[in-house]
Amino acid sequence: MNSRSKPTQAKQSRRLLLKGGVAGLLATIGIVPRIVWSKHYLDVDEARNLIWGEGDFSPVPVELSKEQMKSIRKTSKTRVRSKKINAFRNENGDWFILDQVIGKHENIDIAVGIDVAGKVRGIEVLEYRESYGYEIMNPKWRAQFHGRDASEVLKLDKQIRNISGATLSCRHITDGINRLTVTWEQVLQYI
Amino acid sequence: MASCSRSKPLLGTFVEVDLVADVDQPTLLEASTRVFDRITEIQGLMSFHDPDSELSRVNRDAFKMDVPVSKDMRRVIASALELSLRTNGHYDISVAGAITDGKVLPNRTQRHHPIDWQAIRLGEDFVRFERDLQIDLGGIAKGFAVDCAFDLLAELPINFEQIVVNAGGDLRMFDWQDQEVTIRRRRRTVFVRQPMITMRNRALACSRSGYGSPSSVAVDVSSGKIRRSSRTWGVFAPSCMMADALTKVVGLRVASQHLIRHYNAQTISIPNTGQAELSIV
Repeated sequence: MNSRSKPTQAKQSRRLLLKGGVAGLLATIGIVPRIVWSKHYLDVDEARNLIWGEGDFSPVPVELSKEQMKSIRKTSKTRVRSKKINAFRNENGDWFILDQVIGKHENIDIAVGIDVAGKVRGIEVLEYRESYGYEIMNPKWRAQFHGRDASEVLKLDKQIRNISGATLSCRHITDGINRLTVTWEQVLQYI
Repeated sequence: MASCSRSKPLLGTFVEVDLVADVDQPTLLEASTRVFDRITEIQGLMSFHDPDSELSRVNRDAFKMDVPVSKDMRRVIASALELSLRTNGHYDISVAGAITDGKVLPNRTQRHHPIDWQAIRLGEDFVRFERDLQIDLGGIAKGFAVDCAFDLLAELPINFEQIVVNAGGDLRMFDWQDQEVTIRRRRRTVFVRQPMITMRNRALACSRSGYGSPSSVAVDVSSGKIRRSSRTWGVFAPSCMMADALTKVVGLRVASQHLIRHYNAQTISIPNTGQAELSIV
């Protein structure tokens, strides 16, 4: 893993997708652009090793039919956004699935291990992205970015290592895991 | 110097572990796995939502008999009762009785439950309710889990340069001095983040009742009603458990200076409209 020896700050990618100046301009004319903050946790290989240890996993192309998508949605009571499943399987029949969970503000890449019996063996968050809006309406907040170029904005954002505040719910992840276990039950175990 | 940064959905939120130490990467990943295992164990004990948790067993049986409890459970209940005593009952884990309406917490008994922390009897290794109570550790267990992670890491033969464990905003740091933290708030439909604040103690917890996670509520014990708060409250404290628990008391505006000082804590209040002003009480 190329990022293994790098320090934490380098490993955590945080990006401001819009420059503060542009954001400020848009805010003054009444458009509220979104700023996306992201944090990278694990690479795919790291997550797979953590869930399953070393071992050979081969990609298994899975494309759900409309009926399957409907049935999974009905059973899991969760929207099925994509017909393609980014799935890998080892010789034992254990699965390693890469998935994306999308909430109102967050977009999260996860890796899930489901064993040959359909039991969830591990969940890892790979990358977490969160969008922000109103703060850029705040002149004081915007002032931080005046005269700064993108690299300085990035540097400022890198200082933001920790976030506290009202507790975030992980309900979307729970729903996503539920959707994947139902997908295993109805589709993957028969492949 | 190696670092590792992981996040898992646990305790109803995201638990994030950041470790930095002069060891190899697999050793750090192994340490983080042990932290997550420990937090999963605490979730298995203290989840109100899990019908098989130790807490659910206590809620089911403690009115009828002495229910044996784990050391972890005893520590949390003992700390909660001490805080109830010091706040004249404004902090009360038996408040679950008021919020088991299915929206915040599931109602398994279909009965009405009183709120009365004084009816909780805590023995050396058992708990007993003298009234038909339901207790919820939602306002303290996340902080406790973070502290347990630190206890575990302290026992490992690793010289950590930095440890940050963040359970959905209840966070604790090993090297905390001069470290900066951002407060996440939600205004209408979007999140807002404030410019950073500097850590003033090992742990910080924040709470805004009625917002954020659906289970994030503070209940006025006298009326049994959920209080919606117009501002986010934060508490710095030496332990994450007390920071977590004190946010509920501070959010209800019943925390005395004396109480805050007793726990070596400091509070900040962040209004949700207008400019962010941090006031150190």
